[in-house]
Amino acid sequence: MATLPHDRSTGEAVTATEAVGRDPEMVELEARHRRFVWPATVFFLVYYMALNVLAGTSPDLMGTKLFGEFTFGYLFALSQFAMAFVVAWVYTRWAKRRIDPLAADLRQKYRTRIKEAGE
Amino acid sequence: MSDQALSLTLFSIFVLATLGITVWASRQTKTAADFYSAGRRIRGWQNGVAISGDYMSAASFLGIAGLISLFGYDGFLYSVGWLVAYLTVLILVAELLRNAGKYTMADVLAYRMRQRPVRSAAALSTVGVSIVYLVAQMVGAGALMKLLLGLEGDTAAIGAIVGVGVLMIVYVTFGGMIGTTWVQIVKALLLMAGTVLLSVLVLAKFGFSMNKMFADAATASGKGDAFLAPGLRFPKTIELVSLGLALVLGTAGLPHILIRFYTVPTAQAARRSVNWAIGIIGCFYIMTTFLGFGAAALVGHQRITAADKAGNMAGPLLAQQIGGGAGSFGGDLFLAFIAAVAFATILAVVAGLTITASSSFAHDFYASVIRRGERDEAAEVRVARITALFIGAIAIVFASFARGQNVAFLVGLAFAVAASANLPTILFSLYWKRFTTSGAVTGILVGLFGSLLLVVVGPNVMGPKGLFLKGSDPLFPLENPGIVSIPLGFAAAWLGTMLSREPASEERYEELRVRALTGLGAEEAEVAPTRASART
Repeated sequence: MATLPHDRSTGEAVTATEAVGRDPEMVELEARHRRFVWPATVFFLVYYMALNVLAGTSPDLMGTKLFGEFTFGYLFALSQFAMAFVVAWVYTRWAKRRIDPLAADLRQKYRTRIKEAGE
Repeated sequence: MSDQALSLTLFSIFVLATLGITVWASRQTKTAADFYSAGRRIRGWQNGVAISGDYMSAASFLGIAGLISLFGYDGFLYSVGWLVAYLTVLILVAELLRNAGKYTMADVLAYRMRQRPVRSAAALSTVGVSIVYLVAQMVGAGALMKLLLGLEGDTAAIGAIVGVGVLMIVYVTFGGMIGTTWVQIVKALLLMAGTVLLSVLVLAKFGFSMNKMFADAATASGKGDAFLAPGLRFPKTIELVSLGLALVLGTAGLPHILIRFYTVPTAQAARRSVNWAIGIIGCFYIMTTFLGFGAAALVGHQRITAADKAGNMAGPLLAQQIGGGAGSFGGDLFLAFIAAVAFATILAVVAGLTITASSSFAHDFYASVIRRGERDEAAEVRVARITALFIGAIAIVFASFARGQNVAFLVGLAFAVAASANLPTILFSLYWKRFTTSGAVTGILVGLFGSLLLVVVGPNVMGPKGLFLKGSDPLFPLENPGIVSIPLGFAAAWLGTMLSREPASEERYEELRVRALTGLGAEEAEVAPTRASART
């Protein structure tokens, strides 16, 4: 397969993957991804587990009626659906703005270079 | 014509019509027919509907409605967990998996590793998770047939499970290999339509007042306000936490859901399909409120448990009640319709599970391990068929023992197994540089057998409420093993990595990250595989 031109600083041969891996855009992509996905995961897991923990520890609180027959527990459970819709929406918007352009850029850049080097 | 015969005739007509639509739909387009081979051309929204079809099983339709109708609030927690679980899929797994894999879940797990050990372990856990999941579907189908045929007693219940199980497996093995995407899409639409219809009619009975529905359900349950609060099914916090963990983490480890992401062309399409699934599944699960509390108020505890002691028939009985009650034409008609929807639901899920498990066994174990990668498609298909029959037979046998259980509860166990066996290795493969082959294999095997063992020595199989050693206490106190088995799976994968001498697969990790995050290798896979490239 296509090996890319030698790395200018070290002089060793770099494969396409290594070249992409060292590209500042790829480094930035990795960093952005990490900075978003783990905090987001912690957030929704904590929000979700709070429902289960409260259901176990505070059935009275959960059974408190807020509006008519609607208990706090049922509304909290419904809010999980809203939370899921909002997190999915925020994630999608973030990915479109912060991830997709970088990924498309890298694809564009290296697809061409690999082709040239290969032929 | 007796009521029984009328329901049954109508049910048969509905089921045949559904199968007819499926066959017709799958012939209308070439996309569905060739999606496994020439794939990656399914559109995002189509895949989203298909994922919903694969996901909303007997557990969602029959099981949750049953749990809510008998225990009120606690049953609804299943609905919440099974929806929020899609955030794990969306944020951590779907897009990276789409770019990194090809046909089966093992493609991603084995990407950086030595192929044969990891593929063998992944095939085993795919089959394991699928069997537990199938058992639940068979239990639901058996209960449905028992209700429709008006059977009574244990022998008849087992007979119903065996009969309907054999029919389904034969249909899937010999007829349903093509066009499963359309089975899922047709089924998802039917299920949504049936559920919306039922929900609206239930609400109409209460003058479109949810307050009245909740109040009537609480009164009819005999539990009063406790019915609207947690604690009737799961009084212990630890049990709720264990179940919650299994539900929220299990979906991202379900092989039959994960392989759906291979059918779309890009990571963005994978993202879109999860978003569609979240929308559809979310709406469905919110409506389980009406099915469950509606059945509690209108059908009542006694009649629900008389038909099936775990409550699995609450939904169909609710339909019969709304249609005009047992013995009326409207009641028989609506019961037959909802029963047919439930049957189509189960059949579609059985198809998805069986095909995933048998193709993983044929592709990851038979072709990669036994034949050492030598291609023989005819033999692979033959092995897949035999595996499907074998898996089906095992599921039927276990289902006849599990027949007294609630379907949602049983599927909750499959989620615990999936979260324990598959999720640690999926996440470590995608996110942990140091991860090794030994870690992957240990993680899968310890998670798989650990979770299965804890179920077997748990209160539903062992001890006074279980199947064996009824005189002694169960060795493990929790019904769902998630809180122990999921950390155990992660710990085993970590320890297996730290204790092994093999070098970490760091170079391949970088390759996987590039491919997963940018789609760079993924798109080029057909022309110039980057896999071979790194070695040359």
